[in-house]
Order: sequence, then structure tokens, then C-alpha cells
Amino acid sequence: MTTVSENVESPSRATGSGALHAFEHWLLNYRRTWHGSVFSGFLLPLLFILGLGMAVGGYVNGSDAIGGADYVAFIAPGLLASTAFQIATGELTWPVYAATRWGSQYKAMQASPLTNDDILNGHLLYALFRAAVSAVVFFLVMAAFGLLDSPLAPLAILAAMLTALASIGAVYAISMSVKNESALSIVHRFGILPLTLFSAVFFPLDQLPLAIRPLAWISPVWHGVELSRASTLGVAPPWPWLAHLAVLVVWAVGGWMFARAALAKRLKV
Amino acid sequence: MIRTFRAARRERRAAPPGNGRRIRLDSVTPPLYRRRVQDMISARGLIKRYGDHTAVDGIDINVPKGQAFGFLGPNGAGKSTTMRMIGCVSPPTAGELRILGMDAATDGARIRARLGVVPQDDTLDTELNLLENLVIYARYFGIRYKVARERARELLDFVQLSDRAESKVEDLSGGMRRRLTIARSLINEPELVMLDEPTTGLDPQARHLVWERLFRLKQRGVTLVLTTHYMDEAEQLCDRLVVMDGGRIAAEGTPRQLIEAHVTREVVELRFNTEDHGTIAEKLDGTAQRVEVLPDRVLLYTDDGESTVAEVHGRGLQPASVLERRATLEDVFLRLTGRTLVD
Repeated sequence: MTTVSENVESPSRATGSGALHAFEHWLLNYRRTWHGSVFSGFLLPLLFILGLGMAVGGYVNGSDAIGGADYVAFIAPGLLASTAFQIATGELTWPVYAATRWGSQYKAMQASPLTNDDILNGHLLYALFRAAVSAVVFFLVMAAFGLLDSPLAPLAILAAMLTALASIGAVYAISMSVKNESALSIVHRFGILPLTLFSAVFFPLDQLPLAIRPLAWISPVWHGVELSRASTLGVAPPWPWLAHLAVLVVWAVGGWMFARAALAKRLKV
Repeated sequence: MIRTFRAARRERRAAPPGNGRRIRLDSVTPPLYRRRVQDMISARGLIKRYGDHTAVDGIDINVPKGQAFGFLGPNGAGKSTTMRMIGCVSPPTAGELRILGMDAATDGARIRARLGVVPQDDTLDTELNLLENLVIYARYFGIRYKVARERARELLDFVQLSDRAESKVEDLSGGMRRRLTIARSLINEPELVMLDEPTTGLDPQARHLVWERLFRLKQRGVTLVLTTHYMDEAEQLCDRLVVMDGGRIAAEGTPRQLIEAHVTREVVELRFNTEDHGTIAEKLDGTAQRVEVLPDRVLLYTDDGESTVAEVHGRGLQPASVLERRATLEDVFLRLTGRTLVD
């Protein structure tokens, strides 16, 4: 009989591979549905680009407000970032709520060598993975429609991933903490949806009254959208790109710390 | 030769009281001077409080390697809380707890890597099939895919679920889920397996199948720690057990020792149709070493059931039914706590 150590990849906890092992769990579940999600990953940008970009674009193309750009080319990078945001956060609402209350996935992980941080990071990694798949697919559709005007365009994928990274911690913390599931519908309706609508995805921020612009300034989605747009259009973002990046990093780190505290509170027995 | 569980039970029943079990116990209990090193679990003054409620109130336990150790007690006695502390999921409020020679407070992940855990509620992923459940659980332990798949196949065979390998968990019966959970707990080849109420809610046939598999594990030298509120389960599986009540340990020993120390060898159960049990008690006074009046029956603790029954009839009493039996852990529990195990 072989000994345990020969068959174990990471006998030392110091390697930090626990999060990857927790991530594999969600990946295994995803295997059942990935065909559908990749298909919808193609369909969603297609519908947006055809429906909104081409149709609405007919009215606003060449408008000064969007710097004379093609409307499709204007909204596509914004949609790229906001879709990554929506997919990642969507993965962390009901699934996170369910994992500790309806299902027993977390309980099973708790009995294993995985730590709370492994459990948290594994789930966050999965949300990022889903966002990455959708971002790449979206990017390919954009390329197919000739919407990439800059050699820096691939950086838009990175911007989309940063948008997702900046949002997942906070959403995870909320889903882990809410008392009942109806609160999750409120998160979707009054959190995720307005963030998408008022983060300069469909129109430039200066179209909004000055009074509500600060809401966008603190929104991780707006900063991600602007970085994404700067990448594909090859223009300078409204703020220095380091400033945009800094806000995203603050969100990512702060969100992760909240998520960690929320999980520890929930799993405490 | 592998002795089957049922054969072992027959032998135990045929043997004079205490004998069969003592011989086996000696073979698994290390000499005193080695015991401290070999202890799989060692707890001193272990306490768990939730706010004002004290779930576990200062218990001491030692479980040597290879032993099947049981926590017997009613719901709410603190058994599951103790199990969660030993499983390094719930940190103790106070006291010292060492598992596999490591400190539960600081080495949780390293200890869990070497434990097998069968929780009270099956924590299986109902959306995955049986094989996937085992393989993904193996991955939590960092076990390579190839090895994980091999072990998963072997373990499904061990719990007699090979033909259901590709089925979804939601299609399994309660007994099958329990066996799958036991298989899963063995995926990391643990030295210590913790089972929280392994057969609660199972029908008799399913229970026996689980018991038989656990007995096999015991034969392989795996240390088993289990909780139960079934005294027959404790008698079947445990080399040694503690009786828990209200977060404390009320008694400790082998099942035979507990019975010898706390109750008589035999028990006569009487049921009366018409008369009030209170007045019956007076009439029965002196027929046995102890008379216990329960709402539905009267228990007479005696070393000689036959002469006790004769004495009852000699006093002109006409019970509706008379049952002479050996004393069990249920009687021990009743004696120690004044309550029955399963209400």
C-alpha cells in the first residue's frame, strides 16, 4: 500500500493550493452547464451589439458626447466590463447563500483540511473564472465586428477582470450575511442593475447630472468600464489610469476582507 | 480469516459475560506506559459554551489507537458538540484538546487532513454522482486525481455501492447515503474516523449493513469514535464508552464494566393493566435489589431473575406481562440519569 505522502500533491499547507482544490469543486459542478453558458456568452454580446449598438447607434452615431465614436464601439467595451461584473457577482449571490444554508458544500469542505480562506478563495476564483470565460468570448465577438480600434485592446479583458475582482468580495459578503433570500433579489435590483446602468456603459458619465456623478466615481464598475473603453478605443480614460486602478484595488481588498469576516461569522460553531 | 460481524456477535453472546469482549480489548489496548504517546485523542477539562449555555462542561477523554470509542447519551447531551471540537471545526472555549498528538487549537488543518468524518447530516453534493462526490472530496485533501479515482472505486466496492457509481446522490436511499458518506470519510486513509450518529434514521437492515462495515474498519486497526443514542449500537461497536448527560461524563468503561458497576446482571420488566404503578411499587418492595417505576412498566433489578419472578407471583401479584432479560446500557443510563435514552 502506498503511503499518504506519496499520493498527496501538497502535504504542506504552506503551498496554498487549498483554494484551488475548493475551486475544483465548483468547476466540477460547472461541467454540467458549461455548454449553455458559453453559448449564452456568445449570444449576449451579439444581442447587445445588434440590438442596442446598431439600432440605437442609428440615432446617436457621431454624437459629440461620445467623442464622435461609433456608438457600437463606444458601448461594447463598457458591456464587456459590465458583463464580467454581472456574471461574477451573479455567481456569488444565490450560490453563496445556498452553500451554507440549503446545500452542504461548505460543511463538507470544513471537515477537510481546507481552511476558511481556502473555501472563500476557491469560490471567488470560480466567479472570476466564469467572468474570464465571458470576457474572452465577448472580446472575440467584438473582434469579429471590428470593434477593436487599438493595439492595446486585449487590455480590455484585464480591465473587465479587474471590474469583477473589485466587486466579488463585497457581493460575497452580502450574500453570506443576508438574513433571507429575498434580500438577494434586492441586491440584484438595487445593486447590480443600477451599477450597470449608471456606470457609463451606455452613455458618457457627463450626461448624468453633476449631483449623482459621485455615485459613479465610487462604483467599481465605472472605473472598470472606463479602463476597458480606453483600451479598445485607444483613448485616455477620464481619470489617470492609476487612479482608476487604485479605486478598483481598494474595492478588491476591502471586499475580500468583508467577505472573509462574513464567512468566519457564518461558519462559526 | 475475516470474522463476520454477525459471527462475532454470536460468539460474544455464547461466551460467558465479559469474557469475549475483554480478550479483544486487551489486544487493542496498549500497555499503560505507551498509552500517552499512542493516544489518538486526549482531552482535559474540555468546555464549549454558546453564550450562557454550556454544551460541554469540562470533560476528560482518552482514546487509544485502534479502539472503538463511543459517546452514549440522549439528544442535547453534548455529543455532537464534542465531535465537532475533535473534528477541529469548532474551537473549544476552554481546556486542552490534542488529536493525533497535535493541538486542536493551532493545528486544525493538519489534524483534519488525517481524520475521517461522518457528520450527523450527510454533507454530500446531491448534484454530483457517487464517484464524483468521492473524487472531489479527495481533492480537498490534495490527493492526486489518479489515486483519488482508484480509491473511490475501491471504497464504493467496500460500501457495496459499486453498481451505483454513476448514479446521482439524490436517487439514493438513506442507508446508501450513509454508506457513501462513510466511504467518503475513508478517502484520505484516515487513522481516526469520527461518526456522529452513524445509523440514526436507518431501517434495521440498513443499520446492520453499516455496523458490519464499521466492524471491518475496526478489524483493520482504524480508531473509531462514534456517538449514538442507541444502546444496542454502543454495545455492538464500542470497546469503551462514556455516558454523557447534560454536557458531562456520567460514567466511563467497557459496556460490560458499566453494566456490572451500575446495574444488576438481570432485569425483570413487569407491566400491569389496571393498578396504579405507585401502589404496586410498595407491594414489590424487597423482591429485587432495586425497583424502578416507569410510566408504562416496572423494572426489577436483580441478580436472579427467575427467583424474583417467583417472588412476585408468590406475593399474589398478577402482572399483564413479565419479561426476564439481561441488563443493558439502557438500564445503566436510566440508573445514572433517571431518564431513558430515546424518548
